[in-house]
Amino acid sequence: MEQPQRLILRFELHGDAPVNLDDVIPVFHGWIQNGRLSTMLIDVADYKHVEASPGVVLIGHTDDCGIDNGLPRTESGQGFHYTRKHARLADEASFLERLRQLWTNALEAAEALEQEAGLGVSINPGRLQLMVPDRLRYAFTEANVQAVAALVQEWLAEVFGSAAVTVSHPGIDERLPLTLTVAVAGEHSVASVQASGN
Amino acid sequence: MANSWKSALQDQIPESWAQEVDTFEGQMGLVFNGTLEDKVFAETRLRRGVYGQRYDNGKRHDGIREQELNFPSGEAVKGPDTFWDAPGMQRIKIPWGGLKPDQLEVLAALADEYSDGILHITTRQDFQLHFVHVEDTPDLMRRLAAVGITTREACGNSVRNVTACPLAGVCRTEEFDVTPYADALTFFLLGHDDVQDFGRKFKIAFSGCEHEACGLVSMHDLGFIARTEVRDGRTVRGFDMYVGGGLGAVPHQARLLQAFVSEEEILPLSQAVCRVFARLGEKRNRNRARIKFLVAKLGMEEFSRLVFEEREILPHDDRWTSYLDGLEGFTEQPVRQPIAIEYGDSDPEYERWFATNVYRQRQGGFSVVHVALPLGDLTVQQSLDLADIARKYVGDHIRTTVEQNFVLRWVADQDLRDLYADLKAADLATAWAGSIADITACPGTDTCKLGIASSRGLAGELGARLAQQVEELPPEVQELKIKISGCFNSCGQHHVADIGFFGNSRHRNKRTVPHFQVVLGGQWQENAGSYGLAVGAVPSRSVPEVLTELTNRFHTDREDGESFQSWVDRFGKKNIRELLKPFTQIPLYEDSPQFYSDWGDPREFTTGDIGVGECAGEVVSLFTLEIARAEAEVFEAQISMDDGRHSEAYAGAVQSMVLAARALLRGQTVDITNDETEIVAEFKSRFYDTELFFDRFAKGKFGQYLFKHHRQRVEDPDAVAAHETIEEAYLFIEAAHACDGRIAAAATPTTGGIQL
Ligand code: HEM
Ligand code: SF4
Repeated sequence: MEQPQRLILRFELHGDAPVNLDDVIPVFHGWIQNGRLSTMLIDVADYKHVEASPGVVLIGHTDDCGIDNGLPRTESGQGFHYTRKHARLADEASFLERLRQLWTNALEAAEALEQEAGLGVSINPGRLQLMVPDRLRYAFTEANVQAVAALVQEWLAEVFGSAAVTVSHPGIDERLPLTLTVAVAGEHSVASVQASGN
Repeated sequence: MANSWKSALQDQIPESWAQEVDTFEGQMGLVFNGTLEDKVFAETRLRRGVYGQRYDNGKRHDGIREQELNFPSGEAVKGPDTFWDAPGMQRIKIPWGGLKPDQLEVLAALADEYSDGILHITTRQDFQLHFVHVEDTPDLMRRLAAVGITTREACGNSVRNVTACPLAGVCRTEEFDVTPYADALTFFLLGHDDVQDFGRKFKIAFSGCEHEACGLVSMHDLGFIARTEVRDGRTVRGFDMYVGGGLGAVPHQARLLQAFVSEEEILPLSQAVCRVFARLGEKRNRNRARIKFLVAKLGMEEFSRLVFEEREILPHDDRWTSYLDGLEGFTEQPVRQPIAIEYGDSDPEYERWFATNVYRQRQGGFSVVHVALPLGDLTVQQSLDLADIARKYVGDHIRTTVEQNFVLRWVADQDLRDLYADLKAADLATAWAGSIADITACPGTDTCKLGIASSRGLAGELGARLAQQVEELPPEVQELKIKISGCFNSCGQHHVADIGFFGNSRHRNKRTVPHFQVVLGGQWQENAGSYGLAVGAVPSRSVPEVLTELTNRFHTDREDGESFQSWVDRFGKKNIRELLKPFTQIPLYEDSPQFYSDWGDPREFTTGDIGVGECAGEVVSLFTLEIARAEAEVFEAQISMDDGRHSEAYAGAVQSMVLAARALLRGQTVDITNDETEIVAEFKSRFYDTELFFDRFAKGKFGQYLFKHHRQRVEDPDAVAAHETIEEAYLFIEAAHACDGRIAAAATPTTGGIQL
């Protein structure tokens, strides 16, 4: 399968209490100050004034992450999103390898965010969405959904072992990036996933 | 499956646009390998809307210290002191703000594939994407071109987006619909040879009438106000043409160049204005290079004499009037016809929205709906929702506004409630469009290299507070306009707001405190009829209180029917200063550290991040710009050669010689088309026959290469022929550089003042 130019993971948060996005801004600035993540960080973009938007985003050279203010047109709460801009890496990594990199980096950031005690963020790695913003290679079609879903199964089996992984999609719209919704059976936390060594 | 956007879209992009993007991509290759000078590439990319962004010089103050941003591409740059890998901004020109649903869908796709998922509307009806990598821009441009959008001349020293009143065609006070005229002038001047050699940017606007805000003609370099006259019993159309307006640090009001210029004459007269500006406008000192300074220097009488003299000698161009045949094509058709229905009660939220966001069209039974966006931002999903809503209710009739909103035109009145419900589901039904709560702001310190204080941070804060209170405010306060710029350059148009702010800073005890200068009483109506008055700077953190104080005082002190402008005049600058005085105090850092950081940015404030702004690039000579195209062409030819595409390689190599010859001609401001035969003939008579092009040793040999291929193309060129021609092209281009160098040297006086 061709390499996608970028990938986005979005995790749901545990619990109902909303994260105050105003508080996320200084956290991200702090991360830039002390090089908290292993990727190159640049700046913080603030879109909290826009409903169902990416919220507050930490912009990096290859990776962005942030806490959003909910998904559009759903009752969903906030999420933690992580983008990897593979086009910037120009490496030969396969789609599957890119998913693995994305996972590793996203979990690093998720763990760092949970450690920010003042925010009270708890991320659920067992409830996620994968987006493939690459309409040239991966238009949001039934065929591509099938192909990517199979890959996702293969990849998440590495992470979650035998736990059942259900992959669905929120409804085909070719104007959107290909989007898969994933639910992993059982209870999961960033710590439990990290501890399992994957 | 196509493996690139270039091949996927090849049948959908007009050939000349495709060629332009290919050339630009070629130039990127050249700059990356060090062949193309960075400052030339900077102006080239700016002319394609590819802007620099804050911190692209590789330095960023993180609140504690200045950090180096070590971009992986190392020392590679895309302009002077502008790192290759640094995220940048892409401006996307939307002539007269006219937008179709399919275009909005592509913009949305670009936002999530190349930017950070947000589309932003600017103060000149354009879009911007931020945090875009320069290497993604050619594909981004191709995808736009496939839906009829070009980014050409969105920035740089060029004709910027031609704006027009978003109500054009449906407005109750207009003379006639200015849309087709704005469109005609846009595409007439786009890429026109006469607008390539400006010392500065050039902004044009159209208005349908004189007294509303409409196109804000008075603050433009060139402005048009629609007029009709009855001649021989027939109503004829024309425009009052204004020239020399502009905001910026030194704002000027445009002045009348000529009343009632007929519709047949507006294109040639604009062309004449451009020629005079290109010829006589300041090129070295960019602070004095806008046309407003030229008009001021020459005086209107002399300036207009020169323009009309130039008009007389312009070579005829059919396009001056051919657009008139297409006027009808701009007549908009509603997708739904109005029908009368009786409504029951509706909810107060809808009523509120109806009262503030809906404008009754001239055409009975139809309305314009304002879609108010916070800070001009919207998400990918909202863009798609809006595209769907537009298709359902109004078809193609979306426009962007200079207040960073959308309007939907031709909504049949019976659809308003359903439309409202659909907008609401997309979080796009915010009421109070155009009111005090609907604040305009430039990018400011969020992304702009020149930003001093956070215009968006302040606008976000004021907007959030006002949204809570607006309902309770007195009507004369509700209708005030607030506009905010991050510095004196006034991209947020603070001069034409009732209450404007622009960012600056003050020092206190070895620390810097973000401030905003308060600018009061600017006029939005009358096409931005007068500019506001600066009354003093206050700390950024005190602005909300300042706003409360000002609006309260206006409310209590106001005489019946008095406008804010008149009140400011009457109340007087001195009194206003007194009013603001308590708010100018800066508390000690130890007491209120928040005063030492900006809205939405917890870093301790610094002005150290201000860079060299890309207001436009440096002034680069016409020869330099054009020869860069020739170099990109031969570079592409080399790539075709390496891929075994010999015919393409050969054709590209010859074309690069033609472009190089054209570059020399353009450098001498010769009027020249793109016609190869004409270029070769002119080149021959001006550079070859005069021996200007001759090399000391090779004499006319390099020139002969062009003549040879022009006389007869090699049929079915093989690798050898293609390779040889590429070599010839390189030599020809080198000779063109040398020739330009000799001409420049001859024109430069030595220190002794003796002409060589
Ligand atoms: C010396 C440099 C600059 C000057 C004098 C300047 C001045 C202006 C003025 C007067 C306007 C708007 C009002 C109008 O004419 O309609 C404008 C528009 C704008 N400027 Fe600037 N500007 C400068 C550099 C920048 C930079 C570095 C940025 C940030 C990237 C920027 C962002 C904008 C934006 C977003 C708009 C609305 C844009 C459009 O669609 O054309 N400006 N500029
Ligand atoms: S007004 Fe200043 S801060 Fe705002 S965009 Fe213009 S140059 Fe940048």
